[in-house]
Amino acid sequence: MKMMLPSCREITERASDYLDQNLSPWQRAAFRMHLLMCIYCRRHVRHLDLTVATLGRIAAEDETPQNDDIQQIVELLKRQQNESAGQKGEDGG
Amino acid sequence: MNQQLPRDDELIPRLLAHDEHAYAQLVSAYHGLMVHLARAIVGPAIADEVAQEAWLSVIRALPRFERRSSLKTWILRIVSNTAKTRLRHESRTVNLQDALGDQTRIDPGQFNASGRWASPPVAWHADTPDDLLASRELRACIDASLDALPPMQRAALTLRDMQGLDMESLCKVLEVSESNGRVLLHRARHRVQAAIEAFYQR
Repeated sequence: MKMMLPSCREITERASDYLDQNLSPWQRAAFRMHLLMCIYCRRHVRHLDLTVATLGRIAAEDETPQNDDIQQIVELLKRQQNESAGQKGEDGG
Repeated sequence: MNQQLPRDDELIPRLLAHDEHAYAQLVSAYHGLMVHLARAIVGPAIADEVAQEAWLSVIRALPRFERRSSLKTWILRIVSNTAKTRLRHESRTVNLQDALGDQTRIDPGQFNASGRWASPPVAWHADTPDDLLASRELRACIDASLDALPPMQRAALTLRDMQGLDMESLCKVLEVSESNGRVLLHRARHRVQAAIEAFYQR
């Protein structure tokens, strides 16, 4: 029986799972076989890969929290803890 | 900022003992990530507020934390739930169905009846993220595509591709099945890719 190769449309539907190594060995082999023969799908998958890498880069430049913010949260947590210590037993859990 | 965060089993007893230094370590390790996730779900205006609310829940619920996941995953799930609840109150419903059911599949017009490309992807003239991000205009397109994502898709993308969580943690945080998690991620990635593609097609 001849192995059915995925269509270009199916390649785009599975490209994300391909990059995440989430295809079965058979699916993966068929996927790669299609890529060997199809320049557009190779391009599509390369672009998706580049898109994912770019998102990671955008996240890395995201601002880390300021010391002020951290201090503010810590104060908030301390205050809550003091309040709940004042009315012990309220938290049944 | 999250260098030297102690392991969970070391950190948790100190948090339960209200060790202020442990609080500060925990907050500096995870606050940025929490705001990022909150922003993905509720938008920038109230993301800080949601993160604060989540912090209070974290400290309140910590004595009951059963350690079936990492502390990080557990904290992020509280953020996600706080944000989803908030979003439901704020305006429209945001059940998973809404988030999944939108039309973000690849435009069927791209393929002919036998499933081959009808309008194939164009070359991008970019080999690295730096190449792509060198164009301010393109960067604006990418940001706009992120802002336009349905909340759950954006949350999935944020956790996996921007913050590097594995799939299992992502699904625990967002409380979705593995297959739904994959669908959310797949659709979100394709939307951003389509935005870049549209930029190069002009």
